[in-house]
Amino acid sequence: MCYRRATRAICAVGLMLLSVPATAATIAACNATFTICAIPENISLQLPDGFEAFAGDVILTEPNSSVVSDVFRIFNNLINTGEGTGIGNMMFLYSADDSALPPPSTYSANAVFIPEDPSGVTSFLGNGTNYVLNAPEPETCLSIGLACVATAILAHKRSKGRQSRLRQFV
Amino acid sequence: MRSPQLRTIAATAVLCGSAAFAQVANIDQPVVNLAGGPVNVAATFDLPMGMGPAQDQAFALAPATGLAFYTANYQAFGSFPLAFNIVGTDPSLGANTTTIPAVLVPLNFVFPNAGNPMLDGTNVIAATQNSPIFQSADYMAGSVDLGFTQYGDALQRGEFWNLPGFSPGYHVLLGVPSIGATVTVTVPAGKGNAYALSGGGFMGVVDTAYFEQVLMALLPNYTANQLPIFTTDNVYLGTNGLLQNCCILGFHSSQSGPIASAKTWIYAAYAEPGTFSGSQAGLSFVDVVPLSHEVAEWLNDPFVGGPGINFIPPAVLPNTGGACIVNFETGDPLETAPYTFPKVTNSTTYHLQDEVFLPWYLQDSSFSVNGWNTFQNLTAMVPLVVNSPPSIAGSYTNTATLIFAPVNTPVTGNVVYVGRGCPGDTYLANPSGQIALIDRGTCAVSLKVDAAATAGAIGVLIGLVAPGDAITFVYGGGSDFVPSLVITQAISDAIKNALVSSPVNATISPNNALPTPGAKLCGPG
Repeated sequence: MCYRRATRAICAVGLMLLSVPATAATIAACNATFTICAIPENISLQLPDGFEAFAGDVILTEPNSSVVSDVFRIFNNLINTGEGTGIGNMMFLYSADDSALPPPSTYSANAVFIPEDPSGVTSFLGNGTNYVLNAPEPETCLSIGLACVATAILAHKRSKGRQSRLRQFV
Repeated sequence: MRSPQLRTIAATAVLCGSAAFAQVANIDQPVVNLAGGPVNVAATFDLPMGMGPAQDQAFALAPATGLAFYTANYQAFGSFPLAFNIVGTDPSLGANTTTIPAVLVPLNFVFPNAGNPMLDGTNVIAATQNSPIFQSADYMAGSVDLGFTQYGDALQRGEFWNLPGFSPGYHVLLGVPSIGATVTVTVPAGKGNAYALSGGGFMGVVDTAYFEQVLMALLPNYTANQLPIFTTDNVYLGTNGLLQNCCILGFHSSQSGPIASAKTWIYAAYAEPGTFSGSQAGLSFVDVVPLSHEVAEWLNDPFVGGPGINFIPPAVLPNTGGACIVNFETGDPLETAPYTFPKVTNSTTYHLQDEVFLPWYLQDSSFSVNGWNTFQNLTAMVPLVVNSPPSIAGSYTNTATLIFAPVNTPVTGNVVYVGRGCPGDTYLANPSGQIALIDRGTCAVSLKVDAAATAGAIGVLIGLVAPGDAITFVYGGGSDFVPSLVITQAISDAIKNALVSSPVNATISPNNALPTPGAKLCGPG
C-alpha cells in the first residue's frame, strides 16, 4: 500500500460525469476536523486542503411537499465512478429561487432526499460532516439576517475571485 | 484492505454513520479467549493509513518482469467503464492458466515477556501448504461446479463465469509454494507482547509499524513476479503491540508504480483454533481465514488501487456502522462477521472466507456465476418452500440463514416439531430423517442444530417465538450441523397448526436462494 501513489492517482483522474461550474471556487468554511461546513447557495465551493467527500446529490424538498427547492451537489471531480458517484472536493448548492436546478435525470445514483427546514437553513449529516445548507427563501432572509450576511460575504469574496482560506467555521 | 487515501472519510463514516446506514447485525464483536478471561478486540485486515513502501528506485529502473496481471474495463451501473488491474489473464479471452510462484516465509517471533515466549510461523507452514489455498478441492456455486481447484482459482472462475468469452479452461493458480528460510524476530520491549490463552498457548501482538520495517528488510529477497506470503503462527498486529490495539490479521500490499515491476506481498496470521471465540465453525477467524481473505483481495486488487484504477462506486461496508469503501477489495465487505465456510483438503477441515464478486460493487451482476454477488452466496436469503399441505404451501421469503449451518445442499422432507430442542431436552417427536422445527430460546441456536443433527435430522427450522423478521444467530457451540433456516413466528405457528391434521413437507435448497443484494451505495458527504 502506498499513500503517495494513491494521491497521485487521484490527481490523474480527468473525465467528469457531472460538470463542475466554471466559476472560480471559494474555499468552504469548515471547522478543523471537518465535522461542520457552511454551504451558502449559488457559490462554487471547494473543500479545504486535505478534505475530500463522497460525491452525490442531496435533494431538498419544500417542507411538506415533494417539490424540489434546492439541490446540494458534491461533484466527483477527483474520482469518477459513474452516475454521479465517486470522490470530490467541489460542491454547489443550487437554489430554485436563484438558478436552474439540475434536472432529475442527472441526480446521482446515491442521491438522498430530505425536507428543507422552513428557516431555509437545513442541516445535512453526511458521513460525519454536518453540512449547513443555507438556501433561505427571499422572504425568510430578513428573519435570519446573520446567515444571509454570511452568504453575502461569501458571494462578495467569490466575485473578487479571491482564493484565500476563510476562517474556520467554529 | 481498503484504500488508504480515503481512510479519513471511511473512519469518519464509522464514527458518525447516520441511522440510514445502520446495519442490522446480530453479530458479536470478535473476542480473544485469554487465560484471564475473554477480551473484545477489533479485528481487521487493514494497515494504518499511509503505511507501506514506495517503489525503490533501483527496481523502478529494472526491466518489467513483474506480476502477471491484466487490465480491463468493467461497467458500473451497466454503462460506466471503470478500469481494473487483476491477476491472471483477461477471462474474456478464453482459456488460459496463469500460475504465480508463491513463497511461504515463516516468521518466528520471540517476545520480550517473561520467559521469552516464542510463536514460530514454521509450525504452521505445513498446515498452510496443505490448505485449500494451495491444494485442490471441489467448489460448487449452487448447482454449478466451479471445478476441483484452489480457493483463489475457484473464486476467480466464479466471478467471471458468465462473462462473454470466459472458458472453463480459465485458471489463476498459486504455484507449489517454496518455503523461505525462517526469519527469527526478537521483538524489542514496547514493540510486542505475547498473551496466554485460556485454552493454552499464546497469541502475539506486534507493533504494526515495527512489523512493516521487518517486512521491508525482507522484500529485496523476492521478485515482482512472485507472491511472498509472510506467515505467522497466531501473531497479529496492533499499535505498540498491545492487545487493546489488536488485531490486524493480515494485509496485502504493493510497491508503487510502475506496476509492471512492482512487488506485491501478503502478510497473514494463521489463526490457531480457540484464539477467537466461535472459531470452531463459521463467523470467526480460524486457521486460513485470514490468508484466504488476503489471497482473494490480492488476486483482484494486487496493486491496492492506483494509479487511477480499481476504484468502485463508494459502497457501505456491511456490519461496520456505516464505513464506506472505495477500492475493489473482495474480502472487506464480508470480514465482519466474517462469513466463512469449511473446506476439506488432505483430510483436514479448513475455513475460508466468502468474498464479494466485482459485480457486487458495480451494481451489475451480469457476469458472475448464477448472477451471484458473492462466491458462496452465504449472505443470500434462502426461502422456505412448503410443498404440502396445500393450505400452507408456498415460498416463504422472510427467513435467515445461519453461517455455521449453511444451506449448501438441498433438503426436502417432512417437518416434525420437536419443541425447545436444547441439549438434554426430550424431543416431542423423532426428527431422524426429517426436518426438525425447533423453537428459539434458552440455549444457543447452534447447540439446537447440533443436537438435532446428532439425532438424525436432515435439516432444521428455528422458529422465532415473538413477532418480527427472521434474524440470524452467532455460533455458540456444537460441531454437527445440517442445513438450517430461521423462520418467523408466523410461519412456525402455521406449520405447527398444520401438523395437527396432516404431514408438512418442505424444502430448503440453495437452488432457491435469492442472490445477495448488491452493495449499498455510500451516500454523499
